[in-house]
Amino acid sequence: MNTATVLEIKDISVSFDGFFALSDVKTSVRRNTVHFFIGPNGAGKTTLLDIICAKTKPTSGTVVFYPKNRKPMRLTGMKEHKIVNEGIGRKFQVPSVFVNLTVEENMILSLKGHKGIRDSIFKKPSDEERSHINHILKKVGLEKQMHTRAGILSHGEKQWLEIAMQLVQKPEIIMLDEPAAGMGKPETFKTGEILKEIKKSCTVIVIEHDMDFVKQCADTVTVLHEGRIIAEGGAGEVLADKTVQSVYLGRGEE
Amino acid sequence: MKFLKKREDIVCFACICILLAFMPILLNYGVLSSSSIVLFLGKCIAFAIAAIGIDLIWGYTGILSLGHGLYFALGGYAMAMYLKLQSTGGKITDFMHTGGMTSLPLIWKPFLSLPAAMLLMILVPGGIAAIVGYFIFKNRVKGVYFSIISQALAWAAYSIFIALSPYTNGNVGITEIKSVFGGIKGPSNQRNMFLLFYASLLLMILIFAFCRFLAGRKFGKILVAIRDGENRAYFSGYQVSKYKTFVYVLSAILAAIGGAVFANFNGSITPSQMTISYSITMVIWVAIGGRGTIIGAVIGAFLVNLCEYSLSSGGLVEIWQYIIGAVFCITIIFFKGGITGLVSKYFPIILKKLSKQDNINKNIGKIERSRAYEHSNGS
Amino acid sequence: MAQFINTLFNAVSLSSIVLLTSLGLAVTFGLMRVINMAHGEFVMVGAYATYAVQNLFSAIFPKSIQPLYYFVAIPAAFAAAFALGSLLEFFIISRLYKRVVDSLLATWGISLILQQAARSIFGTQGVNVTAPPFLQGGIFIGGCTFSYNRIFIIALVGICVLSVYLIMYKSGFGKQMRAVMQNRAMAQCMGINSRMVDNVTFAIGSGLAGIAGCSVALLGSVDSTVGQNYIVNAFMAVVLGGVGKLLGTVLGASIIGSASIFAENYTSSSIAKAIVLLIVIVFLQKRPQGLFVIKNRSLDE
Repeated sequence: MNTATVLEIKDISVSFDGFFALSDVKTSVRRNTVHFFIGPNGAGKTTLLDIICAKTKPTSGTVVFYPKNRKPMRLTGMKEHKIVNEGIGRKFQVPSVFVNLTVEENMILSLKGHKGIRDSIFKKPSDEERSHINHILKKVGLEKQMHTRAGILSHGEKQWLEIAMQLVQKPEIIMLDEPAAGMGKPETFKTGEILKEIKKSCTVIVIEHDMDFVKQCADTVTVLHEGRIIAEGGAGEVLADKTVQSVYLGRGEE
Repeated sequence: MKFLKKREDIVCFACICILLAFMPILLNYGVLSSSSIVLFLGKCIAFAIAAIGIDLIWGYTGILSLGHGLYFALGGYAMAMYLKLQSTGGKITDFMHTGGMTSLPLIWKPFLSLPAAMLLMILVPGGIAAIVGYFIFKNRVKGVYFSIISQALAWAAYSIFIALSPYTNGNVGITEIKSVFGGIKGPSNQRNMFLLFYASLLLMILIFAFCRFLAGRKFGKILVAIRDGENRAYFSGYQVSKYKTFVYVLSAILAAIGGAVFANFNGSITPSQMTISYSITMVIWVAIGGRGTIIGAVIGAFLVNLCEYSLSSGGLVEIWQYIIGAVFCITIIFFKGGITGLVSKYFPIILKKLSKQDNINKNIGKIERSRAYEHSNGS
Repeated sequence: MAQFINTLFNAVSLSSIVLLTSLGLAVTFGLMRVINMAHGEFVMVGAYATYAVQNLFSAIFPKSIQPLYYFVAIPAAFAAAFALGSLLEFFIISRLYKRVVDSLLATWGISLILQQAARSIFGTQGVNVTAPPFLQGGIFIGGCTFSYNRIFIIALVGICVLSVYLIMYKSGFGKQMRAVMQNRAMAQCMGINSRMVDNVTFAIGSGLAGIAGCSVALLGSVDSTVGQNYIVNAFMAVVLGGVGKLLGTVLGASIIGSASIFAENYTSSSIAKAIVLLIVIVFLQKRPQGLFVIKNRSLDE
């Protein structure tokens, strides 16, 4: 076990009514990297994220989180909101921001701490927190839309806002489910640059289909196929792997 | 101007309150011919309080409860039980005699004193709502499933209330009661009625201020966040079920307070206030007034009931049912924001037109743009 | 023993009534996910249609064939509710497919209008439907009473369930129907006229409520609130069984019906019903999705 590991997935299996969405998946994620999970549809990528943030219970196996300067903890069996407060953020496939609140309000709601009812009534965000919000919105390029209702942002802007909402919680791990889905080339590229920027302060786990995007910013790539890991390593070597090409890219790589 | 813009709902509420405050004075100087309108407005105050509660849970948090009549009636019954014992002088009531009882049943005993009755008026509905809410929201029952379960709950409570008629006087309910300030009917009791009216008005103002404060803080934003994206709220680290339970309890207590005020003005409380249809009637007020704004709930409660009052006294009870059904239906389909939604959409446009007549040409473009903007907002 | 058989018969009988009223909901709510609060009023429409047909027969036809009115009343009740349901879907529900809670409220507005219409037309007093002579009386076997009208209702429910099953799972239209309910856009791409399918499906559900009204009319007097008495149980039966499963609804209705009857042995009937509902609510805490769960991989409802 090296100290750089931040998340360890141990022999995870999940079955939905006898259908194994994942079987004996084991891997580990290193700190301050961008770790991609790729694979054809139905490979179990989203299920894996669901397990990490406890949205789905695994049939067997555990996920262990090694936070900075704290004791390791088992994530399986914890409650979702607790996991978030421990420092693991998640972005869903469909952009899900609070459409009837402004960009700033969205960010304020995502601030770390003060999640109780009493705080939500009596506490206002401090100046420090406000400048933190400004800083992050600048990072993703939304500082001008601060007082815009989130519902009228474009698709790409919503995705970035959601990433910003993760970042403002100062997470140790941030998980993104297809952040570039539905984006054009320039937006995808910008998203990649944002990811490279944020991995300096935390670990990023990404599910993605766009291979250019993977090449642009991946440190490690894990390939899943029918619920099993078939390859793992740097972007270049994995994408050159014969098995990977046959199950995934073989059907006409760009 | 900016000051006004952010607080237009408060201005509106203040207008309503001033108008209400003048009503007893008008009656005193003989401008109003009968006291029944003041009594009726008193009931409207009760309805408005309950409607604010419904708005918090439905308009803000997006949880449609079809069983708030239960809490309204529980509050009303708590009040009425106290008042009934006041009028019998602490002795057992007629319907208990008929039910075969010889002494005051245990559950009636606390209602001999006003503080205990007031406490139970809050605690019983609040407690029931807390238990129900805790389990239902913890188990992630949501959307229409919650609505169905809440209506089943109200229905079950209704049948139990009727079945326990020696304690509750069944279908008839608790009748022939005076208000906490004594009798309010008839010219000799006008002072009592005014006292009750202003006390209720004050109560409504306090509740409005409190709920608007809540809605304006981060708390209110979280409620909206839960409504718009429950999962996102969970993954932003909020314990959604706790918030939901809290709002549910709060709205149940508001409904109970409304029920208690209502019992004072109405002089009786019946199980019909507990039915599903009465519960939905309260939702109708909020829908027509405008969900998601506290002022909308108040406007809706007053407007709908005043319309019903003026139509019914004109012998048009039958037509009223058709009108309210149709208006409700149309509001839901076409005007999700209700009256406040319509006003906030079109009022700025009208205002602009009026204030800058000379600059019409320049403005038309602006107006159209803001319309387009509003349109994209609405969709 | 005789008492047990009597209780059992009552249980089956009450279950069948609950089932008949919830069968329409199993279609509109279970399949289409539309909460039709006016469902109870469709039951009422069916009941009043029965009453109207009865009066029509006694006004026009000679006494000898008057009892046959009931066989005309069933299709008439179905047709009346079917037509109303079709109209309701066309003008209101169709605008609210993505807003489930709003469709619940809008249909409540309709239910207010229908109730008032019933009061305007038939008066506030309840009206009575006399059961045709062949449904009066019953069979007596060793101390057990099997009244004919209850047997008839049980048979009617059996026929209705069977037809719904055949329509839903065995007919071409049923296939289209399920396709539309599962994925409207995809079904449209396959050339299915989804507007028509939606409309007919909803109308069938409403029509079933009409038939339920027909049998409800046999059990007591009919007034504008008759539907409200059945609606809560009907919704609970569908939720208990698991939304979207015909078998689930059958089971849910049987459980609610029989449990009420058995609880009645110990307390009054209204308390029994209340207790059963409370138990069902508690049960739904354990299994929020009902007895039968359709597992799928989309985790969000």
